[in-house]
Amino acid sequence: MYKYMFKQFLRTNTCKLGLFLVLILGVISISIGKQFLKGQERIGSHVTEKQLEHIQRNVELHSEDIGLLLYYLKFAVISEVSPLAALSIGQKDVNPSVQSVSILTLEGQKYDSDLVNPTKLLFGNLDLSFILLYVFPLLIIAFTFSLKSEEEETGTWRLVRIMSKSRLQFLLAKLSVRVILLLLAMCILFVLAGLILSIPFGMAFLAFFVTGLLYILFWFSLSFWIISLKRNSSFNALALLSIWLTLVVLLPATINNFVVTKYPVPEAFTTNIKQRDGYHQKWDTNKRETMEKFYARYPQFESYGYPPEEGFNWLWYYAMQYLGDEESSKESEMMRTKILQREQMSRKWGQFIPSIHTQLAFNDLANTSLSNHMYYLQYLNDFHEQTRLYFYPKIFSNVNGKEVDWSQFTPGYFSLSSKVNFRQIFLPLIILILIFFGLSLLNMRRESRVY
Amino acid sequence: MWQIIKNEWLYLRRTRMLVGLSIGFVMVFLFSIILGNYQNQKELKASETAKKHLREQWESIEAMNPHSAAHYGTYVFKPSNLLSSLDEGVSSVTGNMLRVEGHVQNEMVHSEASQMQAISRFGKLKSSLLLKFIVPLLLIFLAFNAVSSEKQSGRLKLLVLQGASPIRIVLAKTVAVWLYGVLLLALVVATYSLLNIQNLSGDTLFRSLMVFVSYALYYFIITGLTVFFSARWQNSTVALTSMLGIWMFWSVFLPSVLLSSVEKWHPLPSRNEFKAAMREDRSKGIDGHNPADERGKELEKEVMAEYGVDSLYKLPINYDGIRMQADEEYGNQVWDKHFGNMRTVFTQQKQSMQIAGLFNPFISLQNASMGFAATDNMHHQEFLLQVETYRREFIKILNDKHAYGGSKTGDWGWKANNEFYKSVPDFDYQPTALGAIFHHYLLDVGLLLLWFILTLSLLFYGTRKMQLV
Amino acid sequence: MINIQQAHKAFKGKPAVQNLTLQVEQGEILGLLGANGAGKSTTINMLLGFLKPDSGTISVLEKDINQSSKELRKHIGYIPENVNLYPYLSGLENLDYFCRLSGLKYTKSELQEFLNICGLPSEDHQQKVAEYSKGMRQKVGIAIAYAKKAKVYLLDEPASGLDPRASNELSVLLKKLASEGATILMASHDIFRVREVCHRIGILRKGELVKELRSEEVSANELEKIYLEYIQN
Repeated sequence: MYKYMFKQFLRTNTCKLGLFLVLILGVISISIGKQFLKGQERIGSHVTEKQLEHIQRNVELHSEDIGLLLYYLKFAVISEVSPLAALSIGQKDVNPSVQSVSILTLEGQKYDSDLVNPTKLLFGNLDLSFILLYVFPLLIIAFTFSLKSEEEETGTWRLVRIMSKSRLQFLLAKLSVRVILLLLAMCILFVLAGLILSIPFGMAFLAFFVTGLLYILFWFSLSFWIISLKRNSSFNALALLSIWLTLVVLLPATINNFVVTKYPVPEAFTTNIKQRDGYHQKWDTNKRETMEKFYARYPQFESYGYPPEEGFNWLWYYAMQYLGDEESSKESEMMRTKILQREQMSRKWGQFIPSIHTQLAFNDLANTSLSNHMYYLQYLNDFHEQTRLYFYPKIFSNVNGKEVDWSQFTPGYFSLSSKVNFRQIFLPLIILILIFFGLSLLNMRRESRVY
Repeated sequence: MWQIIKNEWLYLRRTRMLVGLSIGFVMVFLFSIILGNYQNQKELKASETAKKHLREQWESIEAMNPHSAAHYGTYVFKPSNLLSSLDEGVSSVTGNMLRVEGHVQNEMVHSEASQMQAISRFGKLKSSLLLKFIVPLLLIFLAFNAVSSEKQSGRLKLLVLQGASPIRIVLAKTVAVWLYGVLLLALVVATYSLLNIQNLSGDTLFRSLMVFVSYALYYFIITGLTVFFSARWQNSTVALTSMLGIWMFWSVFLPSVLLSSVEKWHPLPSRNEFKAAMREDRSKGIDGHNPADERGKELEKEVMAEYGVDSLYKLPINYDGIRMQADEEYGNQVWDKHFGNMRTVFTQQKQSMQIAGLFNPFISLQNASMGFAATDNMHHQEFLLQVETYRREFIKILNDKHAYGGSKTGDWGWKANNEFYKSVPDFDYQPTALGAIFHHYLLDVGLLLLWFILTLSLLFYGTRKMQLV
Repeated sequence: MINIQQAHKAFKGKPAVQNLTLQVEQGEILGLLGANGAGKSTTINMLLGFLKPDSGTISVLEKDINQSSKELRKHIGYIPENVNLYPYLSGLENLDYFCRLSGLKYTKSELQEFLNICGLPSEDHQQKVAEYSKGMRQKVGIAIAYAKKAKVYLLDEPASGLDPRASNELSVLLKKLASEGATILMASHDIFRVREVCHRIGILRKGELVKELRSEEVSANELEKIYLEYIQN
């Protein structure tokens, strides 16, 4: 029976065209991922190369005045890009993986985004996760919408009803032919991706694969449920396409809207304005006040005393720079909280909407999610403080720039080793698959009793 | 022909599912419009409040050294216009606030996209999402069996026998479905205009008209192709599948793939490279805080010769102001060079994309829609240029005050008074008039027209020999 | 009125109609009998101008159908086996729509008159066609032809699937139309109905006219015998 089912299906134009299309698009998406990965590597190596050069040149110029030297020096922090990121680029195209910061006020420095044509960001990336999330469901719809109704409409269903032992088994067999073919296509794409992008075979890759597999099974179970309603082909097609449109386009867009409206981030610019007020008003207030606040935070430097009120002084300048951050820290923290709230909200909704859930899971596994970027910013904060604390005593006692051991200032490196929470990723999908599959079986049962 | 169109509309009106679908759709549309308008108003208000707050702060500066004021700086906001709620274009990925200060040209920060989880490839629910992606899909649904259903039921023969020629039937069906799309489009544009009736200007109307025309053309292309397939193939499922494929290909795949390729052909430097190159070029110039290198010395000599003195401290004016302005101007040249390069790359990328409209009318629609809504990258770059022009003017006023305001060289404690700060002009964004840049979009509109004609001729010549039996 | 001379038509090399010569006079009803695939529908499609014969001439009202199809179609009424109308319109609206397509504007009472003549009871005029039976739809189909004052009626399997009463009503109506001067050609495989309605009968086999006879010459039983004989050879 299976042999004929495969033969029959493989001969249809839908099948040939569909499989051909998904493989071609899959390969295109993998090569886009490769291009992205190459770009990231180039940026990373460029930064490492340039940083030493940059430090050396400035040390030559300003070694006499270490305060001025550090006014110019920038230190890069690179965020690790895992090869999996090529499969699910996520937020990495908006939020860059390299930031260079000086030890002046941090707030204004950390939100730089990468130079790209903004039009490109609008369309997003055509990575493998896109193919899995958007194209595979369409294929599943095209492959299955007339699973039963085509037999009814061509009149073969009556024959099948008489000839086969169990109609349910017959339909399940037909369905499994399609499942097997699509999963085969998916496996081919994953093997290709693994080879082309040299992704190490590990937990994350495996989890990525299983997530994709479950997502595809979810669509099959949904499609099977619609089939079990036993309507005609055009109803099935229209219903499934509407569901597709709702699940992968309309709902995510609406939730985006909802989240943005619920957690507005006006802090984004108030933070900047606060920071400006924070430090530039200090330019005119008396220096003692600034220093008192600074020493309250870092009592270890109190021995450097208070500079004269008149004239310029690096000790006071850096203290003032620091207070700029201090001033805006509340807003900065609030913004962080709100962004994390947005993140949590989308996750909460995502549990019920497989397209969102799967996209988030992919991004998490590939370390390209928004929360990953938030951790990176946190790391940037710590890095900034460490660097500041290293240089403060040197600036305050005006050490010659040549005496500092600059070789240790290679770019900082942030990598997040996230543990894969299998239950959290797989459970929502598995539950939905079981629900829809159960419902379809129930429908099929009920039907056979009527006849 | 009018009879057939009327009959098609009767069909839409009397089919309960379609009426329900239309009502649902109009509701989603109205919802998205109201939401978009609300968010737009809120954003406008927030940036206006911030703008006012900043100006008040600036005007309340009692006494400050002009150079401190240059560091104090200000912020400018990119105001959203009426049409940006129709198609918000790149503004969700570019941000809308820019810091203006001495010594450096800042970049925009805090784009909305950087603060959101990437759960939706199509961004937020907004009118442009519906107009660009969903309405065409709806038109495909309505049109895919327009002719094939007549054929399958045998009514087509009767129609022809009654004197309706095949081409008239096909055209009428196309127009009927197309009018449905145009009606939705008109609804959206009209609602926006009504919501913002007090802010309508000639330019806005011109722009809305062009947005309307672009979409109307695209809808005709989509509808016409669907009806064509429906007439050519016996099986309406084939017509539906192929149109869905074309929809997917045109509006999702090709733009993404083309943009990636275009970026490969005309690459932009990374942010780090860009900044490093600017820094490098600038460090060759004189340093704003440190009168130590060559250019500085030359300038010193020049200025001292002009005033006939042998020491900077004997100058009747403040040399620091002159030096900083000279450095500023050098920096401006550096910026012009690098930013100019970037603009050239952007222009090349845009041109490549425009030509891609030859294969994909959706790209032309996208270009035209964002361009006419004043939210595309070109308008964005135009805004950045305006800000930079303002920045130069702003800093020059401050530096001149520093130089010639009455202080002497090295006198960093000298302060300008409140009156001076009040007299510094505020940034006033001049929206680009469409008439001035219309030629940039001629190609997009032209390609849409070309596709329109192509579709029409397909309908004419492709269905002339339509199989009736 | 209908004149087919030496017509040939083949699909992908397989002949559907061969060497067909046939005339129908004004006021006459000709029945074409034949098995499925004998070429009845092809003949009708050629008469409608939807198919061109590979050779031979086909003329209606003394004019070649392929040279003046547009003009001739005004005078031809066509009733397919299954008259499919717009289900969301009423019978009256369907009639009005098809009339308007050929540029005819009738008042409501005129339209109702046409439907009445064709045997559709007044109470059904305003109902949606979706609720009509096959016979009712056929009556609207004939009314469409009648409303444009067709001189030639072409019917493809008009009686199949009709209940005996509806079938009988159809016979009465067709006879009436012929007596008013219409030229009627109907294709069918219902031997008894054809003998009852038609003046003349032609038997088609594999696209060839193998036998022509007048219906008053034979009884229904004899006709069946003749038909089977010719079909089997």
